Amino acid sequence: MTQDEYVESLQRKFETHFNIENGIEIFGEKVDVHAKFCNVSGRTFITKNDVIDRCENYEYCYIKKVNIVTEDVVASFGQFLKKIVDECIDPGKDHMSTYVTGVIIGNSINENARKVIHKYCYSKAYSFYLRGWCDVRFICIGINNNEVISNKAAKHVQKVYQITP
Amino acid sequence: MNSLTLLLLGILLFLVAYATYGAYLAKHWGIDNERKTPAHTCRDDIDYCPANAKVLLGHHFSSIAGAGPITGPIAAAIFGWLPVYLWIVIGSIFVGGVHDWGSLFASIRHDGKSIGEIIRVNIGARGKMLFNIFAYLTLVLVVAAFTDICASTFAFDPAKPELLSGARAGTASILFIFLAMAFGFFVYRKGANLTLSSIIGVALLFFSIWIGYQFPILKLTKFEWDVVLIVYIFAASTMPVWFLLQPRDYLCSFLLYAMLAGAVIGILIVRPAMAIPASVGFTIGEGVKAQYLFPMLFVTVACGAISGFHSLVGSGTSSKQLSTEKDTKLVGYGAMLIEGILAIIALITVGYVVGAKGTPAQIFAGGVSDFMSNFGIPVSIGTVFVILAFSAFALTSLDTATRLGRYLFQEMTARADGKKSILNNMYVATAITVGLSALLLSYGYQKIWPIFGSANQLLAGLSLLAVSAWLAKSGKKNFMTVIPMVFMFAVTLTALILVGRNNFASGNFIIGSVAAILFVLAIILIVTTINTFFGKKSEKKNISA
Repeated sequence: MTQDEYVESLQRKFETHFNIENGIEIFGEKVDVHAKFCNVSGRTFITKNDVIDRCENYEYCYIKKVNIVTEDVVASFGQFLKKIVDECIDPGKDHMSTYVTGVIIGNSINENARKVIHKYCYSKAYSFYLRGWCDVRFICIGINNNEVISNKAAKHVQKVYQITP
Repeated sequence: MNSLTLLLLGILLFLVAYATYGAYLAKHWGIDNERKTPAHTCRDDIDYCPANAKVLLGHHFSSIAGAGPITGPIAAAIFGWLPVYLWIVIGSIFVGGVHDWGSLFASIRHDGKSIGEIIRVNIGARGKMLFNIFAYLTLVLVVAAFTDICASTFAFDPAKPELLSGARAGTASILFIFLAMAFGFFVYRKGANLTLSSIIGVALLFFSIWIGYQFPILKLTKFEWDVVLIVYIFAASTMPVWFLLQPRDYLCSFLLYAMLAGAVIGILIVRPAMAIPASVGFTIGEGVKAQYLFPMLFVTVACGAISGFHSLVGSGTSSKQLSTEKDTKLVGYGAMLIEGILAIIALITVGYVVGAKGTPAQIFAGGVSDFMSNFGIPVSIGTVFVILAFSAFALTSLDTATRLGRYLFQEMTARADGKKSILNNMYVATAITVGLSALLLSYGYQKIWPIFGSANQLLAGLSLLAVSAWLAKSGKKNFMTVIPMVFMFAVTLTALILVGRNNFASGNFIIGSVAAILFVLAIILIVTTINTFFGKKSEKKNISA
């Protein structure tokens, strides 16, 4: 499978629930795919417009293709994801969770880059969790070896990113 | 009379009614299994999505059941067990079940809109405002009634230091709140496995009962519990739902199943006789304290026989998820009949513990724990367990009612230009709602409950009116909804007159005024709704099937 075929298969998975944009630039970082998800749940009284309570869950996914995943690429993309959290996430009173997912797709993954990804950790709690939290999930795909590595926060979504023919 | 006979007879009658009267209604209403439901025609896999009917029954039942079906029959037992039993059985089959099923069926034929929504959309701006005021006052009464019941149940009397069940249950309840928050944190935030977390959560839930039993440290008076609960309600109803309400409700469902299983097994083993009289006549008491079987029985036992809030509150999802019209019977009619069984269990409990005094929670806990003692659970621990279960339901009702009340207050005080005002603030609206309820606390739940019941039953009458109008305009027979509707309006209006009169005569002017306001609003709402559905303008409204 090539990088483009893999990105295409990911987009097919996302398109049911995510809004997808291709080839965008944010904070000077070029991103091949930007996928946004928002789920609002809650209870209403009598009519659908009379909302008693609600909670909002978001996920923003940034997918970037590179040739080889190196330590520097990971560090730079990691900083970009932190900047997204710090400057773009503005939790309202109904906010419950936001997951910022960064996916780097390379043909191979450098050994040092693996260590950096495994150790990568960034999360925030807002107003002592009363306004929810935000976690950064960092995932790296090695196309040649069919490998998916991630940080701890992304562990339980790893299977979504498995390379399947 | 042996209570096992009453329980089995009740279940048998409900089953027979489900098979016979249910089939009759289905035939005359034209339940069409081939017709596509909104879950298919409006399918979006978010709100509209076909679901398994049995799963929906579980969701629907848990959203309509609360502490109401327990409180009502216990409070009404002063009239004797026979009239209460008859009202639960007949009411559930011919009134409440028809109301719930009819509302759900009408909703299915209106693209999943609830019957409350159909009424409110059709009655115009003035009617909507009156409806909001009526619902708001009802909610204030609910908050006051359940706060009083919980505080009275948990209260410790220094003059009777040997009575510790309240302090034990109160301590366990507070522990349960923190447990629920921790459960939510680990499941939502830390992504802990739900099955494993549930097992640990339920184990810790029973551990908190044991801690409360061994170390009843919260020995607070009724007034102190009032204050604690008011602060709690304010905090809980302004917190995010996933923070406390959702995990607490989830854990609470295990309490409900355990409590119901314990009560039913206990009744099967003990087969207790009903020790209270079958009937004590039409009138109890004299003068301003007189209680009349009609209408007071029918407003006191609300949720166990019919409840207007069933058609308004709830998940709001059932009608959007029913896969076939046939499923409306199981979910709408079936859930109400199951609630009737819960009400019969509550009645058996109060009939068994003859002469028991205290709040409905204490009486219910006394009876069920006695039943459970026959299969090895000590009475004192069983009492704490049942009170905890009851209070958990009551606290959920309090939280939801306060949220609803706050929302309605914000809607009523919203400025026409859309700008924010101080009254529109979430915290101010909550404080006012809770504050108004606190004003009523000194009257006690006994005086508040009948007014709440009346208001609740009026909502049921309005829903029945809307369903009747829709059936008539669809060329279908509607006597099955018209007769209960007339009865519920008669009950409601008579009860409000009596409650208002008695309270004014006793000098309880605040509560008397609430009854008077509700009476006037009830008349206006009935007239407005009749004009909406049967008046000339109704031809323009979309209420046809």
